[in-house]
Amino acid sequence: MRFVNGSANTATGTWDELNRFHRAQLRSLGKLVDNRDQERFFVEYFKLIDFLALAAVAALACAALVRNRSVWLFVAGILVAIWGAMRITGWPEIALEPKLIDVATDNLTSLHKHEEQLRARSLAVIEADAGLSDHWNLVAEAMSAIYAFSHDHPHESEDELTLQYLGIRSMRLVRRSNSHCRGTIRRRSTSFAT
Amino acid sequence: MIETSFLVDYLSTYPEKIGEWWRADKKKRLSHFGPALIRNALDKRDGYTSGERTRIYHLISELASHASYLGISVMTTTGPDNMAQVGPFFDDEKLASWLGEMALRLSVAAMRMPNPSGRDINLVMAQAHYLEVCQKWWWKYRGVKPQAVP
Repeated sequence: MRFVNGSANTATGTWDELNRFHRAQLRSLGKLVDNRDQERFFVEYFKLIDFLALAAVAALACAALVRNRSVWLFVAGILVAIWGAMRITGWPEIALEPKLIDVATDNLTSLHKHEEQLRARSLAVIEADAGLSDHWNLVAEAMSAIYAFSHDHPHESEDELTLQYLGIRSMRLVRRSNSHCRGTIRRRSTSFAT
Repeated sequence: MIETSFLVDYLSTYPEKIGEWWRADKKKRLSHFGPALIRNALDKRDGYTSGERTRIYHLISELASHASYLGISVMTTTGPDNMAQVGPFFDDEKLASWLGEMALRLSVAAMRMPNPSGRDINLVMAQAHYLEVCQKWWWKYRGVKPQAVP
């Protein structure tokens, strides 16, 4: 990047401000992470104690069976141990109720799949229509021309470099300017290696 | 996109302003190169007096860029019942409108990318090819040679 004078100072100042903001955000996030680590430690600690208690209950049930021949006490002990183990491990809730974070990321995946389907449908419609194909071809040619100038052409002056930046910006704007045909643009522009 | 294409058009027309533009701080950029000033300068250059650039700019801003009720009701609805959609959706009319507008605006912006010295042969060839494609499209769909559109 250029940013050597004039707007350089402005840009640097802006980035410094942004960096300060994000550092502050990260610091507060760091506290959250620390708190979560503590929370996780206590959960694991009590889980371990629970497992030890369950093992003791199971051992007592076995002892009751062996020493007193009390089958019912043994069965009761085993049932308590199974119930406790289920509560500690979270089973069967884990299997029956997927975690919220899994649902959210699944939604992102399905959203992407849906976009890909829309892309295919948009492409099919464009290819079936001569006018849309012409428009589409012009957009592609325009992107190629902008790319040839912004990426391939070695700039000969600062002013030319400025226009190259604007060309890069145009390329980015084309990519994100729509939703229903975004897949098509994105796929097309992947050939424009940087 | 439309704002950037206007700016590219303006800076290509007045290359002496490029350095002033990128050196400008925010205050100066807004006072000397604000969107309205750019549009007016281009209208003046092309002899337009109806303010068509401003009309199109505001229309697209209202529909797509700004959070307006009109934009939401037009851009997020589709189908015979005009139902709002959550997430991306297919709409052939919107696809055609977007593609036509994109071809119109981007073709001009791409045409304004300069090659002042002409020493870069690859760029010359790329631009010559693009100009040929661009001219065909403009003659076919606009009935004129490629030009700045309001």
